[in-house]
Amino acid sequence: MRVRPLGVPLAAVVLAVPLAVAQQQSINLLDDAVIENGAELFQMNCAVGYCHGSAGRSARGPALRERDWVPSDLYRVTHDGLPGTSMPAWKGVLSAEDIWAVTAYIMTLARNPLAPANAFVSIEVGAVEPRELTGDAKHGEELFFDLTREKRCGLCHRLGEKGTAVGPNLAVVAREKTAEDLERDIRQPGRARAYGFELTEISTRDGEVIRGVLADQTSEEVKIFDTSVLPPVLRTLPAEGVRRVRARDGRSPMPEGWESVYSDAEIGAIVAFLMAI
Amino acid sequence: MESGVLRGALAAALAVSVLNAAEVTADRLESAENEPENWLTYYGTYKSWRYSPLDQINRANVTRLTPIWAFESGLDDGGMQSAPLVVDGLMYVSTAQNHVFALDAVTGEQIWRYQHDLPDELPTVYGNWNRGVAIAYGLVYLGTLDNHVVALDAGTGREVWRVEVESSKQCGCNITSAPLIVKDMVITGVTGGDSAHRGYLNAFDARTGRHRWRFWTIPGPGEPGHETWKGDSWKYGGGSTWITGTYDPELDLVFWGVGNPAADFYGESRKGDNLYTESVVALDADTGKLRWYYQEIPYDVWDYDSAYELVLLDLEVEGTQRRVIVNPNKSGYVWVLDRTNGEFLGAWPLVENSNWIEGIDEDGNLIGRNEPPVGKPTLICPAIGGGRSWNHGAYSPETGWFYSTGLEWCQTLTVMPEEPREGMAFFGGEFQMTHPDGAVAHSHLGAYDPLTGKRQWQYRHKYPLLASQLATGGGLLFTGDATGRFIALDTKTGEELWNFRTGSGHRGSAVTFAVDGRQFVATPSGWGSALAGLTTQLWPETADFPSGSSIFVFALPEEE
Repeated sequence: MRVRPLGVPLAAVVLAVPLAVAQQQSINLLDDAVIENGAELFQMNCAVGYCHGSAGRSARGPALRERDWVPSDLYRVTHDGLPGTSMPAWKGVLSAEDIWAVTAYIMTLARNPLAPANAFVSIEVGAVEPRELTGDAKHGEELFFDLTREKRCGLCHRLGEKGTAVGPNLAVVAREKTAEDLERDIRQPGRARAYGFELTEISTRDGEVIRGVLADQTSEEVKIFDTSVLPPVLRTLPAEGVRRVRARDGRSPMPEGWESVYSDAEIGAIVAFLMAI
Repeated sequence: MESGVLRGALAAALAVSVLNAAEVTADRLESAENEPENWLTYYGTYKSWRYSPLDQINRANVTRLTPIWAFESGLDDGGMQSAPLVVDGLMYVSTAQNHVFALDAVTGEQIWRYQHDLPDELPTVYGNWNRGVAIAYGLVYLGTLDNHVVALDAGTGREVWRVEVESSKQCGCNITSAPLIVKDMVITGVTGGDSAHRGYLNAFDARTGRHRWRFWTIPGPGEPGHETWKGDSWKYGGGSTWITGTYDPELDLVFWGVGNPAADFYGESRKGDNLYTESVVALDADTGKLRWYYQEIPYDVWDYDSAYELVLLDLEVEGTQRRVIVNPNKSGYVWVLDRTNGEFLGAWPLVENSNWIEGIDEDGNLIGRNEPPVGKPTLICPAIGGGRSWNHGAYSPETGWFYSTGLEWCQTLTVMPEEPREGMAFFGGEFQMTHPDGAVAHSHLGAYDPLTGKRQWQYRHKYPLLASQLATGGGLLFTGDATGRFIALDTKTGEELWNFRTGSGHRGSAVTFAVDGRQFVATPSGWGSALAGLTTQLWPETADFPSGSSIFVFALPEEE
């Protein structure tokens, strides 16, 4: 569609581990459609509320208009963020094509307009085919991380970029289980085995008993995720205050009661999700 | 080795003495007004007056007020928005980036420092600042930028428990306000009102961190109020609880103000009243169950908020003594409600430049709503920054007046349709700050009758006044400005009696306390924040106002 002229240096863009199917796609940063897309993305993501302001007029973030910009710098900072500042990384949220579109839009606000000879950049596309979940499995994923529910699987299990790693990685667990096993473990966690994450009981010298997942134990302190009530609480106990640490052989610390959180059909969907990943 | 042991012993002794001093109980919090030498809660007491009866520093001698010590945290990105707590000679103060410091309140010497371990990526819409901590049971509580609640040993600053309320990466939300201690619980709100997120309020066991209850600010399917949301809009409807609420021990009710619905400006996809956004909610303290609510702005399309402070007053209303809540709303109106049942008692304006409605009738209905149409730039006053910012007003029982800032600024608002993306910004439009028609944007600090809004005096300022007020028994009203001046006004006349330049602008909440009979006034200093950023669109020179992150403490010279 758009052809990169010879001799124009490529911006280094690595999306992910490139496969043999990866192809180069050229983007013209002066293309009206690209700039229009960038303007819309900028309004939704960058101007918003308190960040860079309408058309980069500044707010809490710096003004972006009427300054001298280098497109590859804008791309890099947008893609990677500025660690230690409020500027987040947009990789994983916006595609490389979209980040270049935002760059193209910001260049229209700049003091140094882009010369046509420098307007072409290239990205790799088709390098990664994200696995698309469908049907029940997709619904199960939504339920697993559903923030509109007070209790949900993601409070203790992390998969990919989502959730919290208190319990085991279920992508690994599910490899060795049947759908029936998984469903039983959800409905009756007390019968489940959880080696490496077994139920640990800590008795303190002032009479408290804390049950959950041991997180760390040193000569100075003991850390345990109290899973008796969700979300789990990470307790840090001075070692001198701990009377006994007892691991219960293989028993799961997962709380009961998931049948009142998820319906039968929803549990089925979550199992389908875990079997699919 | 020996010196190490010695140091350890000293530290242990210090830790024990500090721990004993800091053992704040529910009883002490409920009767905090009986110990004016301390500043035990975010607002001073559960009444949220930001008032202290201390009067050693007063109208007659305030000109001799002198700096005693200053503390600089070095964490100046985001400004210093905190309210220090003071307990028996020790000050606890949080800063941007979730650091907490314990300081000797007389000398400023650092006792301990806690640095919360933050992930590299944080929610983008809400800043990196923090507005305060809570203290009880020998623990200091902090809500964090990655949406955790953390309890620290008040004596050592060591972490005792932490709980992740919800994945900040997924929800795009965080905690910037001070937690509220109620009985044996710690209650925390959340940001997220400008993102695709469903808001809530959570209570945790103060000693163990175990979750006690959650109140969803947006009712789910089957719950009353759910019908006020169109389709699935309830899942992403905002309703944040981003400013600390309060508690009435006699009624055993927790009061909290709820923020705007999302998308902020584009309302078509959430057509309806959008309960309980823009509402004051009263919750049973033990269960979190809704006891009453009053919605100030049904179907908000301007990004206003009912989230600001809830000032508890007992006032005579038409010949009858009523227990009321005074709630300044971001819209620039102040609502007055009966706090036993949520009955509407009145509403009055803080600002002159207001065109989002024509007024409010005697039943509380909004008259002449000016809803910006999709795609057409529309002048709306006040601007997104509010007819007032979150920084809190004060009430003085000596004058019977409520003191608050007002911001006279507008915006050109362009509404744009937008689909929700979980945890991402969800404004549904953009805005450009403007001056009011035929006027220059400015701000003011005024004294008002809390029931009628009758203005008693007004102190005008060129730049937005964005710091809280502090009223004292000495007839003084303290606040600070964008240029770094910390100011004392006469509560009766509004006359400026004294000021001191702290080197950076004011966005936090000053407090007063006493140690060994000597009164001190402490103010955070440190320009920054979202609104400080927005001011640059109207006052470009403010882009050069220096940031900072310090505490300045003042007292009268010792010989007095």
